[in-house]
Order: sequence, then C-alpha cells, then structure tokens
Amino acid sequence: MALFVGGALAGSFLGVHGLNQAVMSTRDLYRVDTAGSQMESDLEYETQESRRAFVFALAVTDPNDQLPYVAAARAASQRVEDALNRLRRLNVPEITGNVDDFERTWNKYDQARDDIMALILEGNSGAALRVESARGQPAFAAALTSLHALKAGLAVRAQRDALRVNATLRRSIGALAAFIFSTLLILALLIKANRSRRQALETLHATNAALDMAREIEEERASILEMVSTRAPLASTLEKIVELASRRDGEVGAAIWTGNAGEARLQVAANLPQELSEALKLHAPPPSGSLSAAPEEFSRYSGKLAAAFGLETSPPKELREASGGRIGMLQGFAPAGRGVRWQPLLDQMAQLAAVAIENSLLYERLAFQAQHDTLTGLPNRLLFQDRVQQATRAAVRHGKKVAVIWIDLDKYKQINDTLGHRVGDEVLCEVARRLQKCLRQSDSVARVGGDEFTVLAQDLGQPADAERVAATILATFNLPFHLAAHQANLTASLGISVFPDHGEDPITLLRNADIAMYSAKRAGGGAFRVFRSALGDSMQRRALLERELQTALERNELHLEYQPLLDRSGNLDGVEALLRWNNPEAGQVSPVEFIPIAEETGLIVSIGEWVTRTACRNAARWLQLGYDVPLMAVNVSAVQFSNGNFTALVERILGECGLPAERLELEITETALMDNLKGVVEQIELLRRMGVRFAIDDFGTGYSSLSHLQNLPVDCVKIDRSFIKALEPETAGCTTLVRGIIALAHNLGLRVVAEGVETAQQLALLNTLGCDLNQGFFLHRPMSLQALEELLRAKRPRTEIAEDLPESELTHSGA
Amino acid sequence: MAALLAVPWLDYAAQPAGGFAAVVHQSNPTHNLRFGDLLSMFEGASREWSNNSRVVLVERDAGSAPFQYLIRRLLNTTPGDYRRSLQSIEYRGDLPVSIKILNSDAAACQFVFNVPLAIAIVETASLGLPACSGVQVLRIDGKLPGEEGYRLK
Repeated sequence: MALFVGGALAGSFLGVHGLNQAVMSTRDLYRVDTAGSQMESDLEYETQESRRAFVFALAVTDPNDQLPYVAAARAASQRVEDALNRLRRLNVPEITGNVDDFERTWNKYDQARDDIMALILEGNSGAALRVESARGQPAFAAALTSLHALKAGLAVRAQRDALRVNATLRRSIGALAAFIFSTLLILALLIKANRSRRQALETLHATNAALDMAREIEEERASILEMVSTRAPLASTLEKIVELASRRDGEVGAAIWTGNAGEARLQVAANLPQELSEALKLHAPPPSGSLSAAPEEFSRYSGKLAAAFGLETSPPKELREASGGRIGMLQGFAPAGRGVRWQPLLDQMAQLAAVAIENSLLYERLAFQAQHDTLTGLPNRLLFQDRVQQATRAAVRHGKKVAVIWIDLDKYKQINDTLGHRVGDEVLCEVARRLQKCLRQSDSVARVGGDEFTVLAQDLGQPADAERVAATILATFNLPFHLAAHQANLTASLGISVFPDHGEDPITLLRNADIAMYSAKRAGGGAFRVFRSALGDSMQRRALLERELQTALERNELHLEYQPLLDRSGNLDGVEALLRWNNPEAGQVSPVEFIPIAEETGLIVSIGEWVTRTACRNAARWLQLGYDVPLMAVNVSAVQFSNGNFTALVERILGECGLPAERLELEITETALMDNLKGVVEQIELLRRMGVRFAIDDFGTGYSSLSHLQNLPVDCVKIDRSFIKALEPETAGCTTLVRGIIALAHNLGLRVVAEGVETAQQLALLNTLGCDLNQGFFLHRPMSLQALEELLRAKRPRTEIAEDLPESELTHSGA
Repeated sequence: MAALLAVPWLDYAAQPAGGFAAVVHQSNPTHNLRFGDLLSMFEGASREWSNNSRVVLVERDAGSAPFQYLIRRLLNTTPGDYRRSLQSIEYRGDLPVSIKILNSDAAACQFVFNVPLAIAIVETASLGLPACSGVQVLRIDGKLPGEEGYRLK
C-alpha cells in the first residue's frame, strides 16, 4: 500500500514537473517567439513609418508642414528604440548580436536622417537629397538588412523553442499520463482505504454492540451474584438467570430444575408458553421425579413436551455443586430450526445457577447446623429455647402446662475416659435415639451440652404429668447400652421445671430444670427431681458468690484474721492466718462456703498467693518489731500445688517479705494430699528442704489411714475439731482415738495441734494426753491484725519493746 | 496665456509679463549672446555662427507676440520694412538670410530642436511646453530669462 502511494506520489510529482516544464517552455516560446515576433513586426513597421514620415517631410517645403512629419519620423524612431529595448529585455542570447547589429545600423540611419531633416527644415532640399542618397538610403538599407537578420534569428529561436516545447509536451503527456494514472491509483487506494475504513467502522460498531451486550450481561451477572450474596430467595435469583436467555434472543427461553437424586421439580421457567411450563411442572423428570436421569433420558423427557409446542430443546446442562453432586438441571428452549448457539449461553447460565443453588443449599445447611447438634442431629440449645418459647405461648392460649426436663448422664465422663470418645459419642447417639423413641410426637428433644439433653413436654394438664414423662425417660436407661465390644449400664439425673409454675421464660425454665437435675445428681443420680424454690435459692447464692468472688481481691473484700496457737504452758507458739470475705451483697461469707467455689473456679490460686504473701509480710514485720511469733500457719489448697509453680512462688514470697522459711508453716488437708500424693509430696519435700514446715490439717476426716502418716513429709498433725469437740472424759472412745493419734504422731516425731478447743475440760484433757499445741475459741478467737498486735505488745517483755513502726507501714490484712 | 497673446486680433502691442527667450539647438556651442549680436542676427547683418555655419532664423507669424516684440521693440521697425530689408540683402547678392516662419512657439522650438543652426525667439512662458524641452535657452548678455538685467522683456 505504502509502495503504491509512494509510486503514485512520485508519478504525480513527475507529471506535475513535466507539465510545469511544458508551461515554462511554452511561456518562453511565447515570450521570445510571439513577443519577439510582435516586436520584430513593430520594429519593421516603425522603421518603415519613420522612413515614410521622413519622405513626406522631404516632399513638402513649409517647415510648419514639415515639422509633423519630422516629429512622426522621430516618434517612429523612438518606437523603434523601444522595440529594441523590449527585444533586449527578452534576454534571448541567440539574437543579442542581431539586436546589436540592427541598433548600430539604425542609429547610423537615424543620424543621417536627422541631418537630412535639418537640411530639409532649413530649406536646403538639394543638400538634403544628396545626403539622402549618400548616407540616408544606404544606412536605411543596412538597417533593413540587420532587421532581416534579426528576424531570421528570432525565427530560428522560435523553431528551436517549438521543438523544445513539443519535446517537453511529449514528455509532459507521458508524465501527465503517469500523473493521471497515479491519481487514479491514489483514488483507487483511497476508495479501497475508505471501504476498509467503512468495514472497520462496521466491525467496530458490531464490536461495540457486542461489548454493550457483554456489559449488560456482565451487569446482570453482577446483579445475580449480588442477589446470591445477599441471600435473595433462590426462586428470584434463578428467575433472573433464566431471563438471561431471552435477553440474548427474544425467542429463546430456559428452565431450571432443582432437587437431588430423591426428588426434582421445575424451579423456574422463562419465556416459555404457559402450558409448557405447566406441563413441565406436572410431569416430573424421569426416573420417578428425581434428578438422577442421564442427560439423554432427561433430554427425551423435556424434548417430547417441547415438541408439542413447536419448540426444540438444548442439550440439558447439569448443575453441579463443588463436591460434584448434581443439584439441578438447566435447559434452553427455542423455536424448532432456530439454530441457537446454546453452548456459551448455557455455560454462563449454568455457572450462575450452580452458584445460586449451591449457595442456597449451603445456607440451608448452615441454618440447620446453627440450630442442631452435629453429632446426634437433635436441635441444639438455641432451637430448643425457641421451641420452649413457642410452647409456652401455646400453653398460655390453651391453659396447659409445659415441662422442661434436663437430663444429665451419670458417670458419662468415666465412659469417655475409659472407653474413649468414640464410644462416648455412640452413647450420646443411642441416648438421643432412645429419647426420641420414648417421647410423644409433640415433644422435643435437644442436646444442650456434652452429656446433657433437654426434653420439652407440651400439652400437660398438671405438673405430675411431667413426672410421668421423666419416669418414662428414666426407664429408657434400664436397658444396657451395647457399645462396641462392651456393655454398659447407664443412669441419668433428671431435673424438671414446669411452666408457668417454675418460670415463664425459656432461660428460667432451663436454669431451674438444671438446678433440679443437679439436686438429683447430688442425691446419687438415677432419679429425677422437680424444681423447688429452695433449690433455686442455694443455686442462686452459689452463682452470686461465684460472680462476686471473681472481683473480691480487686475490691479489697478479702482480709485475714489470726488465731493464736498456744503450747501447754499457754505461751504463744504461732498464729494461723484465716481468710475472711466480706461482700456488700452476700455479707460475711464463710470460708466453708466460698473456698470450694474458689477451688472449683481456680480463683484459689490467686487468692492463696495473696493470703501467703500477706501472712508472710506481717510475720516478717512482727519479727522486725520483736514480737515473739515463732510460726505463721497458712492454709494451702491442693489446687495450688497442682498449679505447678507453687514451690517457686513460696520461695519468692519469703524472699520478698524477708521471712525465714522455718517461721512459715503450710497446712494442707489429708484429702488434698491423698488426691495427688506423689506430686504434692515432691513439692513438700522441696519446700521443707528450704525450711518451710508442713502440717496436716483436719486430720482424721479424710480417707487416709493412720499407716500413711509415716510416709507423709510433714512436721505437724492438726487433729480435726470434730474429734476435739467430742473429747469429754466420759467419751472414752474419742479420747482413745485422740490419744492414739497423739502417740502415733509423737512416735513419728510430729507435733500435734488440737483444733477447736472450746472448753477448759478439753484443754485439760488435751494437756493430759500430751497434745503439744492448742487452738480454739477457749484460748483465743480469731482476731484482727490490730487486735493480735495489741496482744503481742502486751505479752512482749518491757525490755524488748522497740520503737513501733509507723502506722503507715502496717500491713493490714484487708489492705 | 502665451497662446492667447499670440492670437492675431489681440493688441499686437500686448506684451507678456514673462518676457521672451532666445533658443538654439542643444548642440549649438554658443551659450551666451550679446544683445547687439542677437539684433544683428535678426536684422540679417550677421548671418553665420562663430563656427561659420549659417544661422537659420526662426520667426513667429506676423500676428504673434514674439514677432511683434522682435519688430517693434528689438528692431524698432515695421514688418514691411523688415521684409524689404532682408530682400535687399538677397538682392545685393549677399548670402541670403535663411528665415523660417513658424506659427507657434511649440513649432518654433521643435524646429530649433531639429535644426542645429536655428535660433528662435519665443515667449518665456512657452519654455515649459514639451516641444521646448529639447532646446537650449541662450544667456543674453550673460543673463537668463527672469534674472535681473535680462534684456528680452
């Protein structure tokens, strides 16, 4: 193309150049030849005119008549000179010599003529004639000769110019032809280019239209995906998808079936005759209305129905979820013979439809999972609460009662621990099956925790009906559970709460059923209990304490009291730090009440640390003040030992407070010792090596035997107050037991402390029995730090009184 | 105005305000004439130039101002007497006086332009005519027309 254009442009250039040459030559020809010829003609005429005027002047005698001729002759001569000048300006080298010759001869004649005219005017005609003959006529003849030579030169030049013009014209014609050809070529190229441009424009328009369509479809696609993401109803989303077909082609329709291998149904259809849609709905796909048909079979089914309406069907497109399962079918419909390109359309629609259906199924599954237990398939607590809510409303309307039964399997943990979680799961599934089986259709079962189930019994006439349901449930546990190779007998504890007697909302009913169940379990399990408000009170009290204890330390609600331990002479041998809790809501809370809660919740670790640190700090202070307190006894929970870093903690506290280790005695119950004998003993031994002393607290209440005592790394035994309380001279059995304990301990090198000494008789008897130390109300009640320090000050020898530390440095147990 | 003055029926004594000039051929070597020599030439007493070539007198027609000025003021005669004086010269056998009578200053100038030996007296006002552009105006006693002391006025 570029070559053609280049050639065309070159041809055009050559043609124009040739034409220009021809024009220049022609102009030259005109300038030289035509103008020269004209000038030469003028020259000849004026020459003759000058001569004629001269002759006329010669012919008359009156100077007044002669003068016009003379003037005419001169004017003609002047014109001859003008003509000569014009000829010179033509600048034709070939005739320059001729011009010069003519000018010279003419000037010669002109001079002669002037002389002759002067003679004529003078009236000297004779002389004039003579001069004319002698000079005038020859000069004129010579001028004419020169003139003819000049004409000949012009003719030669003209002829040559003509030849040149002819040659140039011939060349120009060739160039012109090239120019015309080039022009035509360029024209053709332009036409071709224009056609190509038009075609490109048409293609562009078509592309734009396709892009518009693609953009529109993309927008539709985005809109559909938005519907999917915003969980629009599946039918609406699928309707929008099948409408894509008619957007592509107004005569094309589509339909989507959803379902699974079990059942299938026409979900949506667009741009189909109403009757065909109805027929497709009426006649479910083979085989027997499922989505398991092979595509060919499905195609036969739909094709047969479509043919009745003059339509043909596309190959059916399977809609599959990510896991590969078939979740639907898509098929296009078009007038027979329409020749629709189905594939891209179906691919696009199928992709969107599969996403929409799968998403919908996913949400259905999620919704189910959100409300059901995955192991047993039973409703979970959330759904159960909802059902309780509905049931209570219905009960109000019908004047009936509703019972919530909380079921907790007894000793399920042992099955899990001994037989494994798999067996445990089997138990749960079996329980679920049995519960579902034994209940009425209107009742509901839910799994609300690990081994906890709830039952909703509706439409009850009186509370006693709930007990019958509970008894039925308990009866289902009478049959043994066959678990893999094992057989187990299980029991359950059941708690019952009845609407509206025990609560009006699902939460309260569930909580009260749980409290009742707990009561049943504490009673040994395998039974049910109906909720009573007293149960609720104790549980509520416990919940209150549990909640308040969480922040008791932060709110400085805990403090220590100290109870002295006296030897047989009544001298102070030590004090025991006793934890106290004063809560604004719960009041003074007994350690018996809150220590188990602290142990169950793990709060005992932080509380125990605080107790140890406070007690040690005060003991160190007393030491600094010169008070004679040989021993600070602090109670320690087994949970603290199991925390792992207890030994390091005690060591750190002693270091922080500056209390010698041998002045600290840690008291631990024998039950705590026996639960984890090995782990605790190791830590006790470590601490004892540091100097810390150990005592067995509440000795005699645990299940350990006296024989274990010799193996325990302790320094002291504290006989439980129950033995001391019963210590009377007439109760020989108890006295014997205490005497035995004291003797045994002494034989093992242990000191003995009697707790709970409340009477002088008890004290006297204990002294008689050889008990080393006594502690109890009879001697000293537990007292505050200030009271104890006053006591210590009073007992301190005067000489040993040191300057008391400032009040600000006192470490109050509650501070 | 000069042309009007030249009209015959006007008072011949009428005299143009600009005066008169003596004109000769451009190639004439004489550029200055004494007033007496001028009169001598027109009286016919002096008939050759300094180079011995013949003087050709150019006169205007009888009714013209230059002719009247020549006859009455310069030569102080009459036309008849003047003719007769010139004829007597020819009659005596002397070289005849060559006189050309032209009927306008332009023709006079044109004549002088064509004839190298000619001398004419024209009105100074006519010197601006194209025909007079190719002639030489003589100084008379060293004065050109318009200059103080110029005699032909």
